[in-house]
Amino acid sequence: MSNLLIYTKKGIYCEIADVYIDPWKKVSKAFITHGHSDHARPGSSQYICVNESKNIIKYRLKTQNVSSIAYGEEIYVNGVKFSFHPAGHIIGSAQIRVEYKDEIWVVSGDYKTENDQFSGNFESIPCHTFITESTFGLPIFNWKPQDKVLSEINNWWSTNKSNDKISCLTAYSLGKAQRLISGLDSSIGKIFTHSTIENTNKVIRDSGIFLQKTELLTPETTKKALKGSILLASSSLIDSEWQKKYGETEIATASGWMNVKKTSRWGGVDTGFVLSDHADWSGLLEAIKATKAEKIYVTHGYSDSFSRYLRSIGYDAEILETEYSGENIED
Amino acid sequence: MQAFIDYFSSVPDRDKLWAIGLFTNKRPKKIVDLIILRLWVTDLICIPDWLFDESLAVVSDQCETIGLLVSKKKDSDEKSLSEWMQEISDFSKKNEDDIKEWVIDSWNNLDNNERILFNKLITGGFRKSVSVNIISKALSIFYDIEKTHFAHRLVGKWNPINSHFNELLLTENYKDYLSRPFEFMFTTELQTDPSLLGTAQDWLAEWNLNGLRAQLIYRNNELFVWTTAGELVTDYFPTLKKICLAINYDFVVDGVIIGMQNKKILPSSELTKLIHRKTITNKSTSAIEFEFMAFDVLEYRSNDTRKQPLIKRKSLLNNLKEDSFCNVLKISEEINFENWNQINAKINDLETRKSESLILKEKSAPYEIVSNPFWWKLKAEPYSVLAVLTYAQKSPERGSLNYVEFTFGLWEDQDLISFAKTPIDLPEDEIVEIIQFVRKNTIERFGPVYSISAELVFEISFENIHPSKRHKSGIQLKNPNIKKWHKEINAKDAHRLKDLMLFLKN
Repeated sequence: MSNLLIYTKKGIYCEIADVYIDPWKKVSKAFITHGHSDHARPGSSQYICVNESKNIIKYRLKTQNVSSIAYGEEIYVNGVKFSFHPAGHIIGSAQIRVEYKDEIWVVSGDYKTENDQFSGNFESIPCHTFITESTFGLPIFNWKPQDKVLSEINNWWSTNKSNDKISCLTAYSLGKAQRLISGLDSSIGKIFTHSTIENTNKVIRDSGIFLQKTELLTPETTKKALKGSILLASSSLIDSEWQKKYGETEIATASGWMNVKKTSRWGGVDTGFVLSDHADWSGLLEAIKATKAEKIYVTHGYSDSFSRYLRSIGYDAEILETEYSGENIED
Repeated sequence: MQAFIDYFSSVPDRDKLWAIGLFTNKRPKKIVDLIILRLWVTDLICIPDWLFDESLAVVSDQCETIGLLVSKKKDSDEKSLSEWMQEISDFSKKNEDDIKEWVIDSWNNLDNNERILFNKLITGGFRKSVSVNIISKALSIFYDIEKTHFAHRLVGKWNPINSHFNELLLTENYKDYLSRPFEFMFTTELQTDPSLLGTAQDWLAEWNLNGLRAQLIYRNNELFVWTTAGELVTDYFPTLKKICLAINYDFVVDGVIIGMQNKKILPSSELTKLIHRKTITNKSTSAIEFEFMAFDVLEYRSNDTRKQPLIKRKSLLNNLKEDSFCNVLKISEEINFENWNQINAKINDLETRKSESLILKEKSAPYEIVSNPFWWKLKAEPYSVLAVLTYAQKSPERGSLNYVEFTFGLWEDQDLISFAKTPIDLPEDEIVEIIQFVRKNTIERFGPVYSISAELVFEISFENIHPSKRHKSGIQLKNPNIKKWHKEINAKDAHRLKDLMLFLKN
């Protein structure tokens, strides 16, 4: 990588502004696209993110040194103009636009082009150089519209309820969990959450973001209360002891990996719903096309295949090795 | 099985028939090659060949890869399974262009999972099969008709395209009666000393030979062979037909099918494998010689003999043997003994015993399924060796900290060779101690399996030992179990693999 942003051992770096974007080592000034642990890592002296992400990063990195700005707001660091724009990945996720002397770069972080009504609506930003993820950068990944998947999940829940079973949906505590909660039909029953998820919910609600009502699962939660309910938790919670105490529990997970039979076994669950916080194949291609960028850097995911395909259709694309990890099945 | 029952209750008979047919290897012929399908899809969505390969590497299945590359374009009326199968059969006669148009149109109408299945059906790649036994059981529960009835109907040649559900499976048929076996009488394991059974003279004893338990039913000049699992397996053992050639009356005998290869008796698991193969080839059976070791007769000259005492039935069985003039039919050998001590000695004598268990049968008893058994199985005292714990396997159950299986090794030079896996049957406090040891002394992890430093010594008991080419140790044990944890024994003093070999009979 040359000029405005460069690749260093600590992360993607803007030398002129002395700013790192999602660094994986300790630095003095870190601009953060979103709160997931492969992008927001502890130890840096100062973090800058969007307002919606501020409390999340404070909470997860256990630091007070977080300042935030609004989406679209511009800040200058030593003459370099930075701004954050919705990435649609999770609540408070952003693409970071960097501009200096008529040259524009965009670091997308993780993104999703479909508007899920909760994580912000992905914004296309024209630029010269676009750094894109490629978690699902193969043509076998094509997502169904979210409302179809959510109705599959709600149907699964109500079927379990009518069979007197508890439903357990496993989900990463930041992002997927809240997106699912927003999409659950609470007329079916109560929504319980495990503490790791509920703690994050609290942080999000405290930031003034609406999230429908959930109840914390505690040792005092009774079998009767759980009957017919849905629980968002880690699958490791549901062992034979659990089933003995609370009754039969169906476990499902929602992830892009559920699309392929082989990788759908990763979660070790009964049912898999194909729902991802990352762009699918056509989402990635459309997003790239919309930037009108001349140069594409491809980070984490199927970066080999995806960058090769981009070159085959005429882009100047190359791989950028990073330490981001993409979509996890769960915590 | 529950899935079959649910399916049966939700679809019409034509679809049931197809579902049964598809799962019992009655598949449509392939109408298009996978390689052609692949060309169509890469063409349709405009991706280069190498990108298909990269995708295939992630998915590992061509039909699934092709299925995932296309997205559903429109919602149209759902077709039933039999309608789809009819279409597939119709299109098999058409030219490639018509097929292509139909395939692409079908792709656009289907969900991912449906599309993958569709690809498998049209390329002949649908290979899932379910045993006739399970399907018969499901039908039996759904229709409340005996399982053997369905097993009989589903065996043999039929084709979902030109069969009628009722005719094939439900209507009564005189032939069914002819083939029906009697309910099998089973043995119960004897947990006490045999002397508690009473006087030794009232009992007879036979070796429990390794084979496939079956009834031979010969009625109206036709032979039927049924297993205890309710499977009709006549076609797998054509040699057995020789038994009936010289006999001109109806009979039913109970016994064991024995397979011999290179003069050695095959383990019963090999025979079970054989009958669960999809097709019977000469290759799979030609090297094996089959015999029927009969130990009881349940019908003789069309008369039900089950109420008669065992010794009477034994003499009828001998008559039958003489009438057969056939050495494929063997009569189970009786073990001579005068008192219970002799029986205990015989079962534990490695040199002379023919099996690791024998069956004691009350001479005066009928062939009848009663709560107080007439047939008892007496097992030999297990052997044992001192072995070192080498691997522990974690429970696949989510979140469980328990181990489900231990692997043990015996010394060969400086190495421990794995020779037995056992369930973990130990007192609770010892298990806790071992789990702590495993945590602290794990050398390496392979998925759920932890390799452990060689320190703990256990006494491992087993019922029998066979040579095995598939196992690294060269042997296979029957029912290995942990007998005792010997904390006082040092790992280097555990047995060597060659010590175990001494148990192998030549």
